[in-house]
Amino acid sequence: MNLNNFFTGTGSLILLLMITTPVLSNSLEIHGFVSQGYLQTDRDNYMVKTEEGSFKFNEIGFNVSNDISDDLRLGIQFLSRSLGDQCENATTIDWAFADYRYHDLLGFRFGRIKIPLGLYNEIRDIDMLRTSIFLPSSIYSEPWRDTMSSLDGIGLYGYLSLNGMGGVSYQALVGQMETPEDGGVARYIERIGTNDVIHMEPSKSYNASLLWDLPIEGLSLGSSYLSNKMKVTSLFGDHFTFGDLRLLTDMNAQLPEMLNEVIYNKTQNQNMASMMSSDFINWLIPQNYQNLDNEWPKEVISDFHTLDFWVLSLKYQWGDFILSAEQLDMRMDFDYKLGDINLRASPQPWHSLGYYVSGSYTFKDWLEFGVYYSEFYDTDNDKHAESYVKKRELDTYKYPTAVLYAVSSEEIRQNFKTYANKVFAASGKTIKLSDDDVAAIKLISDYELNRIKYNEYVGWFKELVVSTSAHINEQWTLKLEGHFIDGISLMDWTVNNGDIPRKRFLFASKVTFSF
Amino acid sequence: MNNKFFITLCMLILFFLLSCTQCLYADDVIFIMHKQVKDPIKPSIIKKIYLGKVSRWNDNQRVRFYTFDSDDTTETFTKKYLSKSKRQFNKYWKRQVFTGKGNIPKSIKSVEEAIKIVSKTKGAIVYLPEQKIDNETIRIVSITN
Repeated sequence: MNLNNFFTGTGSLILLLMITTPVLSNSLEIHGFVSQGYLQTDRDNYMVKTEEGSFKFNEIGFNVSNDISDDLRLGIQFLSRSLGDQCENATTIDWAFADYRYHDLLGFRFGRIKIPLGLYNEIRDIDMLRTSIFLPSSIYSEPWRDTMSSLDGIGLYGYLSLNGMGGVSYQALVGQMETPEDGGVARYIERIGTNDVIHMEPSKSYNASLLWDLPIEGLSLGSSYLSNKMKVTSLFGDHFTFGDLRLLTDMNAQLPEMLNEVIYNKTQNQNMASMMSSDFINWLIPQNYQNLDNEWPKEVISDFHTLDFWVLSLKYQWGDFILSAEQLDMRMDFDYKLGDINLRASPQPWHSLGYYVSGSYTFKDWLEFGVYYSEFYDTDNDKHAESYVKKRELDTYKYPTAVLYAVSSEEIRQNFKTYANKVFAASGKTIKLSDDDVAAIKLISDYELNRIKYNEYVGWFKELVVSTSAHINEQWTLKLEGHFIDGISLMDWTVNNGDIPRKRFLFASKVTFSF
Repeated sequence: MNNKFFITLCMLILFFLLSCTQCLYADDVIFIMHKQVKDPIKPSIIKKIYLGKVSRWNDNQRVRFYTFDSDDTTETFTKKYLSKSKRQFNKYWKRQVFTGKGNIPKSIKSVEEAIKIVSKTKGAIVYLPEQKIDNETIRIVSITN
């Protein structure tokens, strides 16, 4: 939601009430934070142009809240952040909602609400509340952050004391997420579909979260679920992945004229030439492809009917030591349609898996150390991207358009020769097409070939992260962090023709002021 | 990374481990609350109140909890009753603040001010350093484990 949209909606009401109610109650609270970071990699870029070091990494947050009555609370937080060319310090509403606490067992929220997914999704914008600068990317994908952090809708929450069995905090939300066309989700879809997203239309999202504080002091178990659906319209270009389709549309556009010419030259009969060429096209090209011209790009619709995230969490706090472990199970299923043609080659649900283990220790009141190890696999049943590696051995995958055109063009010539000669024979004509006659039939591709180097490490993203956080005082925090990264699955590995180095080291530092 | 880096890092960690001395804090705290609060005061209830899990007393009066503005007393309180350090307690409430779920509890600067506020505020409760208080306008509870 941008500010213009927001002020025409419920947000304006929330803000108005908060400004006017201080007269009635004396509980107006104002808080905020400003952080500035620096990122540098030893090779290649990571999210930002990090190879030469980048300061394009900051966050500014500002919130106002007010207790209108004992049960009703209003609040709003503005957020401006930058991470390379993501967001670029556009001011957005991070959250803005009315909170009515009817009972400890049941409260209601209305507005833009943070999504409780895993232990840390709600606080991913506020890094001073954790030891590390970046959360483990296996669960908390940075490119998805702008979409996954909150939704516009309604929610309920509560706390149930289980007496000797601890207590359970729960939340449930329904609403719609923000999916900007230039955001991280759009980029992810562009990467898997190699197209340009022009419009995203999310349906309702459903979210539920449960955190059980066990009777063992400091031990908590959690489970959270987020279910989404959305339709994405994108422009589909002449990419290698869809060489078959491109070939068919080229045939549809180019072949009739060429076949017509071959027959006409032999028979000098325009009607027969037209009839035979169109019959051959009908025989060769499926009906649903015949309406497609070879004008590109074309609009395609990706219908994500399943886009589900399930996170299991464990947290154990023993004095100054905190252990966390989480696992993400992400399932995605979608149709990828150009007209009524489903372009998706293997209509199986896409299943990604991620997990991490982290530990942090507070040595002194002002000093914390943390370490985590995180793994993410793009496709659970193909962790080492064997399907890609096998494909790269095939010429049809390395040089798809060249191979397709070379092979298909010869086959088409021979098929047409046989087809035409059968028609001539059946009609009692003595005309016969020779190889020389059909040699002129060529398909002309007008786009560049793509060569992709697929490596097994496109299938995973592993990182070992070491962090230190120094609390200079109550307001100031300084953090230093090192990421030893192996794999590229969470990065855009289609750039540089897929030839991205396997390992890199990322240094991150950040200073934060909060009040 | 070479060996020199690892050795330096290990020495740094060892230095901080050795410099972590056990701090001595006040032995215990007492609780004072508004006279109309009749609920039994147990550590489990205190924990739920100060973590915002419980917002009402049994008579449906809104709980208004305060912190006491003393590092030692608060550290003693948070460690004993919440199993958290003062910093962890502060972080917990900052999390509520920056996700819109709550406000940082108000802090009271002195025992006298605490007695004054609590006696006038229905549903109020605050911890204080362990001491003898003779005041009939408030309820005083000392929890001994």
